Amino acid sequence: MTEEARKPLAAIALVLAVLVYYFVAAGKLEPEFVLAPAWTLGLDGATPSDPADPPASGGATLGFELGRFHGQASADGRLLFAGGKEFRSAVSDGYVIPYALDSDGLTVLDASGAPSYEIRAPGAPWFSAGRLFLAGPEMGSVSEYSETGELLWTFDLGAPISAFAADGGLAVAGLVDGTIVAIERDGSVALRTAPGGSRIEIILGLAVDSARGRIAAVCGIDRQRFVLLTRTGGAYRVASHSYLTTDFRRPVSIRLSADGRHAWYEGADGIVVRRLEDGSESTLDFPSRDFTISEDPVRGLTYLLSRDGESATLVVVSPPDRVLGRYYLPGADAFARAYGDLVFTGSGERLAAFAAGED
Amino acid sequence: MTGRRTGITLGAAALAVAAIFALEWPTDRPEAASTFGTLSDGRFSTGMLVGSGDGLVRTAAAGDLAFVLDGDSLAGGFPSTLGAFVAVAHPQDLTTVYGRLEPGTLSTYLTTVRERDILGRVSGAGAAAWFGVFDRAKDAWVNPLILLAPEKDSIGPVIRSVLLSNDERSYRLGEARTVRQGRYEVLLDTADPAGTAAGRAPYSVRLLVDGIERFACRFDSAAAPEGVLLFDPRDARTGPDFYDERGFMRLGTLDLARGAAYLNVSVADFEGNSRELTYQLAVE
Repeated sequence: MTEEARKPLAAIALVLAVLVYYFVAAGKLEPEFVLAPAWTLGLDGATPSDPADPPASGGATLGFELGRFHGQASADGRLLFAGGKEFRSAVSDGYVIPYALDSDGLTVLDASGAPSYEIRAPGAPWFSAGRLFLAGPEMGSVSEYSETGELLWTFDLGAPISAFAADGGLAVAGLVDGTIVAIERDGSVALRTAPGGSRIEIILGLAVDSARGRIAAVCGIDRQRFVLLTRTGGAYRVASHSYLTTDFRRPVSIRLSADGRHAWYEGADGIVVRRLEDGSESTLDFPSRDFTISEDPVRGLTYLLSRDGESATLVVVSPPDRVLGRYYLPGADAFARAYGDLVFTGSGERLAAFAAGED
Repeated sequence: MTGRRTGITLGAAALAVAAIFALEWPTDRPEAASTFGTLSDGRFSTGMLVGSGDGLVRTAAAGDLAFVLDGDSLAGGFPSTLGAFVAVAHPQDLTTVYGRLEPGTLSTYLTTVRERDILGRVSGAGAAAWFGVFDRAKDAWVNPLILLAPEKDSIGPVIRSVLLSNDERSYRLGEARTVRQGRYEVLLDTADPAGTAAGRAPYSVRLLVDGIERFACRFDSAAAPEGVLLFDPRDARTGPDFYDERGFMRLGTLDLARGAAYLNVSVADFEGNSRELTYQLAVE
């Protein structure tokens, strides 16, 4: 065969090779994660919706505290109430409590900003898991109040509180003397222990998962430890622990994932994700001093908000440590949390919701 | 351990600690604006307020910086009612706590501290720092005055009034010399003025009825072993309801029978200045 005759054959072979590679050899491309805007809402100059025009999403409200504002928005993007923050405030989905540290009583506002009930006691309020707690004077006690303002229980802790966490079943306080006290919903003591193991005993951070009977702590100085307490046979015991390379002497962020598989806590070089099953760890290289996590169990996603001074980064993570996307949020008090299939965020003076999806 | 033994042990521990460990005043003004036991935010205080002339708050003794909250809330957002605060762990199982500091002024870079190292500034001109001493071994707050150099205080406590009160009536002793027989609660309105401070609690209070001690407490230490803070673990009257809504001390109840009754009330401050009043009553 002549040289001229071979050229068409070579071209055909090349085309066939490309086609074979395209259909056979090429791998499947991962879809790209995207957050698509659902709605945005500027707070400056915004007017609340008519209370007679209820939210379309079944009355669900989202509490927010952002810059000089606090209030409530509906999940479909309408402003229900926005108040100017003259003092501090505690916010939940449905209630706002403005307060000053030296006040001896609190007025709880409902989702429309109207007074709902009052609490005649000194202290600073805090909402968690739909429960209302009051930090008592001198950080020496904690109380819980019902949704109608009745005192459910109060507990004097002795030493000042240095860490606190609560979920639907337990309230857990860590003290500057290294003691952990867990309190049941009826005010009885579920646990009082001191993990010890360090030269200076102190509790710097706490997380609780009462459904699985778990309490995680970062505690102690010289040396600092991660400690996981689990309830077995009706009593809490140290299930695992590890010494850390950190030497924090301030509050430390720590969270337990809703699926019970991971603990997230502040490390020396980023946010540490610890697999509770085997104790193995990896580190996400983001500012770790002040972070929150919020989870979308349907999609299996964790929304990690990492704050760094005057801004924050929303990191979307496929647990334990695969980063799917990151989004810059300006403002020192930016927040982000999952709500159904939406991510509800606040940044600057703007609220927004995003729908998670794939492109 | 019984309540009485626990009380004796705590008191003895406080005095023993005082004998081996002394603290420097945390500011340049060695004067308590309010003392251990003073009514504060509806309950008695487990520390004291100390003013600062230069605005600085310093360590009372050498130790390890154990905790610095340079803001107004803990991790996760739980609010601090001490404001920004610092805890320093000392040998002898003591921890000193310095609260009501100005966020952003705290010495967050320190790990070990010497006596008189600067920890931060008080929040605002004329403001006072909160200062408390916690005994880790006994799980109890200790009256800081036990461990600090003495105040220059020659002013004795005042007894503003002593009341006998029940659901029907209230008698102010001194004005009332005759009372009806029955059960009464004894209420004491007292304070220990010193320098510019007027609302301080005294150090000790005692009530005698017909020569028999019916109430006595010293503000040495406070502990909450069962989730209720008490000045004296042997006496439930020294708990959260020790002060009534007016700030009067509740010294307990008396059953007064017909005849004569003698009530003796004495209060003293930590420097030993004291005030004592005796009332003779005709009970009808």
